[in-house]
Amino acid sequence: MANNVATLNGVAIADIQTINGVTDSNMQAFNGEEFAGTYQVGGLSWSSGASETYRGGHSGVGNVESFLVIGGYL
Amino acid sequence: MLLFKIWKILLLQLVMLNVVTCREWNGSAWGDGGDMEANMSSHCAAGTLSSAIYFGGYDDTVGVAAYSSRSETYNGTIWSDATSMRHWMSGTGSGRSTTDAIMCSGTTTTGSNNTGVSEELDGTTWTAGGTRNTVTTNGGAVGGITDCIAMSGYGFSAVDEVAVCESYNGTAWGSENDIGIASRYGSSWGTGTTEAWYYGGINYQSSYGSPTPHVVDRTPEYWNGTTWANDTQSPDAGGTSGGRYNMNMSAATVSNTGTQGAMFMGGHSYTAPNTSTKLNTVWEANW
Repeated sequence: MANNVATLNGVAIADIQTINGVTDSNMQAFNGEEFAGTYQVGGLSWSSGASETYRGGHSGVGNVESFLVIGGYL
Repeated sequence: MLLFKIWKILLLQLVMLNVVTCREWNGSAWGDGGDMEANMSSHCAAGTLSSAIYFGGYDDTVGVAAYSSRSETYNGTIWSDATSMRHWMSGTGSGRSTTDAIMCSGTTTTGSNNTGVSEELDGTTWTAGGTRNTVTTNGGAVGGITDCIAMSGYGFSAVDEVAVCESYNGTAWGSENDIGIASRYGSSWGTGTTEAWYYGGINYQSSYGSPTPHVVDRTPEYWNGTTWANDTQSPDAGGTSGGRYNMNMSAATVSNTGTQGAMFMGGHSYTAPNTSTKLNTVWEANW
């Protein structure tokens, strides 16, 4: 991926770490100009959830606000 | 040799005792859910916390110990028997609701058989669907009976984990571009054939258990409707490997609107050459 942007309002692009809290590595382009960072296509952002007793072989449905863990083994 | 491997798989499943319990996450804390009527693992599921269904899997309820055709539905409080599938099987499946689910392919009866014939739940009845081009088990799947995408898993013909990907339009399975992960026991989520993710799982690099080291990918793959590409690496330790496997098979099946975000609970980490560690950590992934 090319880096087409040299400066933004006089600030070297290499000195800009985030725009609106979004890091370069999660941003593909700004006003159509590409950044050099490694853009992750799906844009997943990971965070830790509350620990829970181990289990494996289970299934789950829902999302981060409402989730059901079904069976499995301990 | 084949019989030994099947015996080994069955023994492992017997050693790890299944539970009937479920756990619920309300966005801030974990709590107990209702108990299932059978001790199930390696099953597939669809729906939401307040309206869920599981189908198939391995049942080690006392006196059973077999792949199962069982299905139960959950109303947020109580599990109830639902219509059984056509086959006793464990495999790869997904769905959107208690009336829209698909078992894509899998292992049947004693483990010595497999089937690429899908089973579709449309309403309250399971019927035979299309036949997979590559018969797999324990891979990922996202979507419902008219727009399902199945990826990765153990390939029976290859006698190895495979990177195949196929989509289903309600009638026939078609081959898609391969995914970058060949593993079983990973987790999949997304909206269907237009957007999906697959994360983790283990690549034994053989039919089962050898040779070592195995491979457990830490970087999920994202499907944009056409191709697979790396997404943001998970926080799991372990460098380029060090992901997890045996966590919940499905992480989230979402519509194009509303709350998104996938949950990954439990499972194992892997350290070469042959150390598996039980995890109590939980990750959340948003997009």
